[in-house]
Amino acid sequence: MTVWQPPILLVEDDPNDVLLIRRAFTKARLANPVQSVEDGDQAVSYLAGAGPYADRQSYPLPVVVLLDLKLPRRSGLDVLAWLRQQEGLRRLPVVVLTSSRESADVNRAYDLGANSYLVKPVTFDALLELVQTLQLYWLMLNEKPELH
Amino acid sequence: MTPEPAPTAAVARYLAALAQFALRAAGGEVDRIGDEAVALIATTLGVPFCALWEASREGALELRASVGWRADQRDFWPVRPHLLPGAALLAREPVIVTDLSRDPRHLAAPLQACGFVSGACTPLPGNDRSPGVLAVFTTYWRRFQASELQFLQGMACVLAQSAERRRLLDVLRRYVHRVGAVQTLGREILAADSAEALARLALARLHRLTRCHRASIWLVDATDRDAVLLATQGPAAAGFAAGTRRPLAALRHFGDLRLDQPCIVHDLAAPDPACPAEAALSAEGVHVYTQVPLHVREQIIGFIEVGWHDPEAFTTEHVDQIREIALPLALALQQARLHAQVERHAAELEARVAERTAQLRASNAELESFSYSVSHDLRAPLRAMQGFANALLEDYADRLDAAGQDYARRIATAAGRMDTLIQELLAYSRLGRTRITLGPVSLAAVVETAVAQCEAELDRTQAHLEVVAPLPEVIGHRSTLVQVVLNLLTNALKFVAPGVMPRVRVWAEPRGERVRLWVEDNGIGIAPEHQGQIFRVFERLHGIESYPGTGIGLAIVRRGVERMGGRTGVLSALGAGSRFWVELPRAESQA
Repeated sequence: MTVWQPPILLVEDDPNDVLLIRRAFTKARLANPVQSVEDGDQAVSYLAGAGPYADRQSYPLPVVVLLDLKLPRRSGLDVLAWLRQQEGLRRLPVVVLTSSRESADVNRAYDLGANSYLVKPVTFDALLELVQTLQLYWLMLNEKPELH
Repeated sequence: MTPEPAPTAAVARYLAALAQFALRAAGGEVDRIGDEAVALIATTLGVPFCALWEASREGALELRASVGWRADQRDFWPVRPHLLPGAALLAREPVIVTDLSRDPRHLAAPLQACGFVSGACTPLPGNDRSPGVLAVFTTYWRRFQASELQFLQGMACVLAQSAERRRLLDVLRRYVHRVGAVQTLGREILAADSAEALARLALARLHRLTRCHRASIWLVDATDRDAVLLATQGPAAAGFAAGTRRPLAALRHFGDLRLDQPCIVHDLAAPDPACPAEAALSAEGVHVYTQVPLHVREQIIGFIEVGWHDPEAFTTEHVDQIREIALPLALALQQARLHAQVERHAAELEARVAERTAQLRASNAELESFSYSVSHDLRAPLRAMQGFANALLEDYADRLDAAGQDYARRIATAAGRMDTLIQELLAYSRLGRTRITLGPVSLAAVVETAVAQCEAELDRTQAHLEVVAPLPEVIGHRSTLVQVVLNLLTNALKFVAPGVMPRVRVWAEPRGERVRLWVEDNGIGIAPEHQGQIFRVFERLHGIESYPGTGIGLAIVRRGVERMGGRTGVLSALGAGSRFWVELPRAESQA
């Protein structure tokens, strides 16, 4: 019997990355489903439960958001800033997963309230390792905050 | 009438009084010399009236000091031949009158009105004119003796000498004052910051010195055709607004000015109608004016123009004073001109620097956004190549033959290598453009961090690493220094001959104000001819197969150390290992 698990929200515009990350999740036997959106506006809609994501049964609030920074429309940092302003969502853990290790990006992300900052590895083995660590830390060890 | 022989005692008394007075006057001990002289004469000769007149240039005698005179007897006395003191002055010799009422030479009414009966007068000796008269009178009949007259003459001599001395002292004092004025002006000129300020200073001083009505400073303009009014002192008047132009050709004496000769125009009653200067000066009631050139190195740069209402107020000494001021003023004005030029150039230069800085900033920002997209966008396809090659190998291995699997592996490896390359290039470029703040950093902590970061590599190569204490504090940037040391360590671990266990030794060597950190290996070494190029980007001495790498590691070392104000180098020989060093300033607390 499968226990219901809240999803992980993956905000990523590169379909290759989405595919590879999903594959890594599968390999890591992640119990949580992965919901993915491909730009900042969609991410905001999903989290706000607006538009096509109004049905919380089909699109439940995620346990953690994996957020790319360079996104079409609204950037990852904008999404983060918006999220931290929302009364019911501000405690939602956000892990930035991006390819930039520029210190300006890293510092800005932490300033805006990112919980973690990870750089996408190139090799698949490293990605798998990262996903396993994510699972262990954010899905199993980390105490979840209350959201409404 | 033969004069009675003077009693010897009286002569001796006269001589003693005269000598004593002369000595005191010469010593400058007498404050009111006229008053003392007449008092002494009255006492010594026993006369009720004694007077000292000063002869003015207008031909009058002014009573300077007297004994016995009443207020109503003090009216000035015209110098006329028929009036006793005046007669003596004109004749330039002593006059004795025993009975004024009977002496036909003198219509002595004013003297008689005073009740005088007898008198003796002597002019004060002078070079071209006598400066005054000394006289004694009695209201009773008295025959003045030759010795008494000689005493009077002696006193006149002392008084004249004293007056001359005082005149010379006065000239000297005025001269000292002038020199002081020029010196003060010189000091003020040094402090003035513009030509206008200089001109105002000089004019204020000139005005005080010469008591003129109008003083102006004109400068020859760039066209060499006009004079432009720089500044003026005097009441506001037409033709004296700052910036007013006058053609040089219309100046009455411009030829003299050009030759550094001042000109003086004494009578402006008939001003030259073609000369705007004279018209303007005459309009405000100036009767005498002078123009004194401002010369710098045989070149006229302008002139000072000074005008007086009263012709009597003007003396040639004023021209000397103006010339004395003109000399330093011309130099200072020229200096101010050059200074303004230099400042203009400096401002232009500053503007150009600001422009270049803005350009550099713009291109730096561009570089930053460029490297941002490199770091973000260039690596995404690499991840896809690597990831999907890997997926092929894992998920479809059963459907690929050995060659197919090898190709997929090569795709994955190449993609991985390109990613490392991009990462290192970014690190290298980041070192060049990010601002780093230098401070004390513990070398021991830096080495410890770097060693921890290459732990895996140390394990894999089974290397023997020796870190020799003490490692002191240096001035640097912690994370940059960690990267530098890490790159040196991985370099030392990498370049060993096959089958050789790497031995790495790290230690610090104090070198005066600096500290040198050494990283020694037992690697393949570097031939001297290659030691210069290994610190450059993309310089590789070996094929990628034998020693994999990007060729950026040592370039990062050099750039990082240079950003921290340090130096770096290597001692090595082919096959004999290498000793790399980085040198940084020692932290103060360790000194």
